Amino acid sequence: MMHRLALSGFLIAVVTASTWAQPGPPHKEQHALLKKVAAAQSTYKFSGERLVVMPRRDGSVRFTEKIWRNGSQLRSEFLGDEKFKGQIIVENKDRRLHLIPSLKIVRESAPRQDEALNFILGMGGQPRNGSRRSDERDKPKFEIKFSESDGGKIAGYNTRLLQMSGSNGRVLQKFWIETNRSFILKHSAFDGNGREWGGFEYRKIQFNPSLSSSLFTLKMPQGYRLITLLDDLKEQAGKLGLKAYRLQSAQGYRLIGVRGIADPKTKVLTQTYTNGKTRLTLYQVKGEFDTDRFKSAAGGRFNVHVWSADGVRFLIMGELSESELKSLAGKVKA
Amino acid sequence: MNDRTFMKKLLEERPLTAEESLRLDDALENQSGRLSQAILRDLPEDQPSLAWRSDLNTKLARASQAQKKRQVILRWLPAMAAPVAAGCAFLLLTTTAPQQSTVSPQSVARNTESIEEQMVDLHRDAVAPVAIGVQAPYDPSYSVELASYRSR
Repeated sequence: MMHRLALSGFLIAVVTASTWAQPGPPHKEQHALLKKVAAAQSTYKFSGERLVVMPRRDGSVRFTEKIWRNGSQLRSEFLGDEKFKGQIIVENKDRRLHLIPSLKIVRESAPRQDEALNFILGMGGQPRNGSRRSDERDKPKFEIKFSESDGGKIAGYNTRLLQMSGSNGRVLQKFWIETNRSFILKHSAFDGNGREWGGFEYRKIQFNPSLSSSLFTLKMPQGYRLITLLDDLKEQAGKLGLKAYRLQSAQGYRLIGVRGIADPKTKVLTQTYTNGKTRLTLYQVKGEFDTDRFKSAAGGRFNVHVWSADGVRFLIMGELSESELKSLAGKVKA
Repeated sequence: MNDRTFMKKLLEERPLTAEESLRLDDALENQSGRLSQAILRDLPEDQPSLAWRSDLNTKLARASQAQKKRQVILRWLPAMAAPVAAGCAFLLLTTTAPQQSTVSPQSVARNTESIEEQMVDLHRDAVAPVAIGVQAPYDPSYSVELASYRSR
């Protein structure tokens, strides 16, 4: 079984290695196993532990995630890497709380459970790059092929291996699915060169355990502060000397992350949004900034729209078309 | 069958007759050691090469010289106890103290990136967890991030 947030990882890696593809709307030729996985999400009840490998530009990071799930309620704890140790995420259908010991805060934001379902439903055809029009989203630009075989045992359970390949035969994704519960026990994503660049594998899992309701609540530790993302945005903006511009309820986009970064000459406020189907990042930049270097770093894998206002440079980046990004830019207000 | 032939058969792992098997079981049970001694005796003797022997002699000579030096130091140590102890303590603290750096390899990489590259990394890092179906913990490895929470 895969909890909804975990299912959000099932993107079709339809582009080359370094591209983090994002899914589109439901596609007709979904594999039957994936349809069952998508349908089963709301019924999941389990506790487990999995090893996660998450890609980074300068390599990858590994950590162990302990998970408890009961329907729409979720708890994740992180072990292993010192950077992540002690962090806890608790989510239900109304909100998400993320405890971060290194910052002594509990950050409150909107839940992200719909992303997983939409990503699974959207699998089956992705554009090769971000430049797609709305009317083209339902049409895959290239064919995805599925093959099924015995997956062996994962965490003690027999699995079916579902392999997703592009039309050139290169493997894009692999899923090891426990078919009795329609649960993904292992997932591997591959780049365009056939190298595995990320994924997870359950090491232990128990289905239908007894789960206390207290697991899905978060006690505020002493000395910690509860902060909403909107408060976070305003505070970070204030520290950077920027106004708190944001994407104002446009097409269902909601704020899920805020970060301020700076060097001696430049200050940047970044905001990450999701509408459940795709993620965007909005940047406000004050100081020295090289647009060409930024676009070069993006490598053509994401589209970017740039504009200026109030003496500040704005950028919005994602896999939508440039015209769609431009349209969203018009909804960025203080 | 004599011992030598029997030993050879064991070493070559050839099938044993019933009688030979009983003989082997008996020898093992008795633990007389004669069988193992016979086997060891009949093992081909390894002759170390001359080059290896020469290298060993050199190492032994060096070790011997080092031992002589240590003996000299030990002879003088009582007179130099205090200053030597102080020196050793200084060396211990400065060379064996655990590194307190909190800079991870990823932080080092981020340190060398331009602000533009780090901005793109932030977006990639936001998308990556979704791409593999996991929750993303907060990653503090963006070394130029404002410590705005700590300053409150």
